[in-house]
Amino acid sequence: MFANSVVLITLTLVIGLPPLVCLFMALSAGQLDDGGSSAESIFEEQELRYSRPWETRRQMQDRVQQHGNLMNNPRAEWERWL
Amino acid sequence: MLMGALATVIFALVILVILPSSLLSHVEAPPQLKRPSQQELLGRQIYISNGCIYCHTQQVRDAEITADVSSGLGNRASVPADYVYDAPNLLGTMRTGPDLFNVGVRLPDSNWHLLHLYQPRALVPWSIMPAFPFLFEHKPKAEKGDKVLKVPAAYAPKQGVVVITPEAAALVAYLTSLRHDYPIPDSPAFKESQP
Amino acid sequence: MTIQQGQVDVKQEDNSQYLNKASAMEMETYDQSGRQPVLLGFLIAVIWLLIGTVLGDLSSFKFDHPDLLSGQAYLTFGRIRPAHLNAMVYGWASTAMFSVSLWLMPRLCRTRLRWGRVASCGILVWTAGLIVGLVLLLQGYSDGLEWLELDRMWADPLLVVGAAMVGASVWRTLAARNVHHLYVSVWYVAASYPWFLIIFLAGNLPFYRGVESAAVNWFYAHNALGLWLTAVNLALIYYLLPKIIGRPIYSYWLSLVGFWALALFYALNGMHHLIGGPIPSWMIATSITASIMMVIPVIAVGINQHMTVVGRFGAMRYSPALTLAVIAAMSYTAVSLQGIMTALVSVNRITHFTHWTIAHSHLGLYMFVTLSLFGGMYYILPRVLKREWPSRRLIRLHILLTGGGMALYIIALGIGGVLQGLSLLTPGTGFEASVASTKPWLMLRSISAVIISVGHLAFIYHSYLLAFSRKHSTTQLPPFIEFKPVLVKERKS
Ligand code: HEM
Ligand code: HEM
Repeated sequence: MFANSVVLITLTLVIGLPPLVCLFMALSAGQLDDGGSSAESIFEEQELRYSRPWETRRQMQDRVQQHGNLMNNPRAEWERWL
Repeated sequence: MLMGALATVIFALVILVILPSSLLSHVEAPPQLKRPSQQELLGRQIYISNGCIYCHTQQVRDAEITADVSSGLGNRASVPADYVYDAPNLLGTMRTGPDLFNVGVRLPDSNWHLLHLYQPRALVPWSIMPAFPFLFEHKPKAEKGDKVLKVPAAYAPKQGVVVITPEAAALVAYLTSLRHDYPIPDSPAFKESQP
Repeated sequence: MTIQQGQVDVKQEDNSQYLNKASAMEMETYDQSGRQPVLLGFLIAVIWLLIGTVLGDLSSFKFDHPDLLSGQAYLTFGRIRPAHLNAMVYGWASTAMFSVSLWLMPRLCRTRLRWGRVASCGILVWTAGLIVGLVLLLQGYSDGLEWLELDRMWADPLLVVGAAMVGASVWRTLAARNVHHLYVSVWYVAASYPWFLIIFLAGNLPFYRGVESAAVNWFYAHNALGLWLTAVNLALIYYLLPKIIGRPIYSYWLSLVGFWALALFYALNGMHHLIGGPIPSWMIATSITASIMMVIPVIAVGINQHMTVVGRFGAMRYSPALTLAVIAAMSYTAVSLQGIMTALVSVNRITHFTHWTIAHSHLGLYMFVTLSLFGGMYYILPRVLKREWPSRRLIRLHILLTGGGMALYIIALGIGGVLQGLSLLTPGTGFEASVASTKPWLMLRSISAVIISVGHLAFIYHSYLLAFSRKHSTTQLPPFIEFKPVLVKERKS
């Protein structure tokens, strides 16, 4: 009688187990160590200093404290809508 | 290393392909379940190629949680053994139209099915099922050997006759063969051997 | 392991300059390195969107007028409707996702796109396979499995080869990376290609029978949603939100929790499409449990993305890409919570087999996947073409019509589906009641279909203008700037 499907169980493992291996590999390679810099890695050099017109004064002040004085986006984004 | 992980995956797949799944999860056909005839298999193919599955299920769900049994779709829930001859499966996910698992029990009349396929609204005025006129042939006159479908005047073509094609006949043969009113196959092995 | 670490060490020595952030110029070279496949993919995707829209509209109208265009076999509902699914999922969404991945990888790996030609050819091969498959499908040649209708002899091999070629380019770029830490989007994109190939191959093998065929069918379909469509679009959203807002993702750690929870547990979910069906109950119970566990990645993603944007919703007025990414991100949470709810037996007994599922499908595939891809195109195309979208009015039209139309679609079918389900649960009312209960809602869906289609036409026309006309826009205002903010207080300055 059909009580289980070996195909399905195997498939599930085929999809589910490699990530587990990868997770350990990633851990041992230090991939998960430095979240902060990973999170910031998508930004260009001065990008976090570009002024953004929608921010409140508080938010701007926070950024000035963290990254230095704000500057205009050289490519005039925000004035348009890129 | 990543390549190695990938290789493992592929290896596992190869095993899957090599080990015939039928050896591993075995279901026996209930004695009352007929092996489909050549014509019924052709009909099944017509069912697939015209996408009946997108509106019709072929499964009766557990009576404890649904009204499938109490509203007459079958006398019991369907079990894996009912489907041993099905490849591919046609369980379906929509009940835009009613379930067809036991349509051969509920509606055994071939002529009803033929007219219903030609124009559902000729029999069921509120139906939203599409008509399948292309499964029939319009001819000015019936020739020798042609099976002619009787169509009520309101839905009949102005001239000529409606002839039943082998495809339509096969589809109806398939539909009327859908009968799963035998009791649940109760071989001792039926009880789930796995947790 | 040693080899890999060795590689990493070498990289770090060689590429000390990459410890700094990229300059704007550098980003531009990455964008240009993938110009050919990215543009090709988007072009093909937009054509599929048009085809899929016509097919979807036709399917919808056929519910209201069952005799509409029923004379020809290739126009029957049972062929048009799977053609809609395949054109949208494999044509529109997947092809656009190829482009998105090929654009994201160089930026995130800080290297130019490798094997871009291979990727372009892959996109063409994929498209050829899809055309073959759809023509055969309309001719009546279907493999008979939902989501896997395309012919396994003539179409599927081309799809596999095409996706593998694009995947090869993605992985080759990853291997040539100049960064050590992988951004979360890289995890999603890189993993999605092998995942997709494995499940697609496994799903298409021809020797499953009976209920096992159904089990593998839904194993495939569910993972195609979660490990392919969801993965690449979450990658895109994880990139766009922080990038446009100008603020790193709220918790990088949480984003990794989301990824790994998805990767480890998603594959168990498939059987929740067969609740109540003839499948061993322990398998369904496992799936329901796994579905409930999906709360973890979903909430992780939801909180993370919300906290990134929170307090800055006003930015949506400045960037249509952000507007769409935010709606898509919220829809991801919504569709997943709806799905988890639907996987519970007490809900599923009502909604299974009804239009509630169609509402869920489109909340996922439209409000999440499609809007995220629209957002991606609004962001990516100007950067690759070095040209701004020409018309703010067309952007407004597009977003309002598609977003509003689809909201109507989902609400209508959500209500209609529950009514239908309740009527199916009441024995003795007859089937007529369930048909009658859905009719007005299906009509409403057809109205929304027209609205959405107009939105698509606006978008397609606008893409055409962007790509092929010389009409430049210089500084205009962002499209939604006049919309007074409701979620944020106006800045006093
Ligand atoms: C113009 C907009 C659209 C309209 C009018 C539309 C209409 C429809 C209709 C009428 C159905 C059949 C429902 C049924 O069988 O009861 C359907 C199913 C489906 N559509 Fe769409 N659709 C649209 C956009 C999309 C998009 C953009 C996608 C994906 C990217 C999509 C993916 C699907 C899927 C996956 C199904 C199958 C759902 C299921 O089996 O549960 N649709 N659509
Ligand atoms: C973890 C979150 C999710 C859960 C637990 C879930 C659960 C479910 C369940 C139980 C069904 C079957 C409904 C039925 O047939 O009665 C279903 C169908 C579906 N879901 Fe989800 N869902 C989730 C997320 C998503 C997402 C993110 C998407 C889109 C990207 C999506 C798209 C679909 C589609 C298209 C179907 C219809 C499949 C078909 O019948 O053709 N779901 N989901």
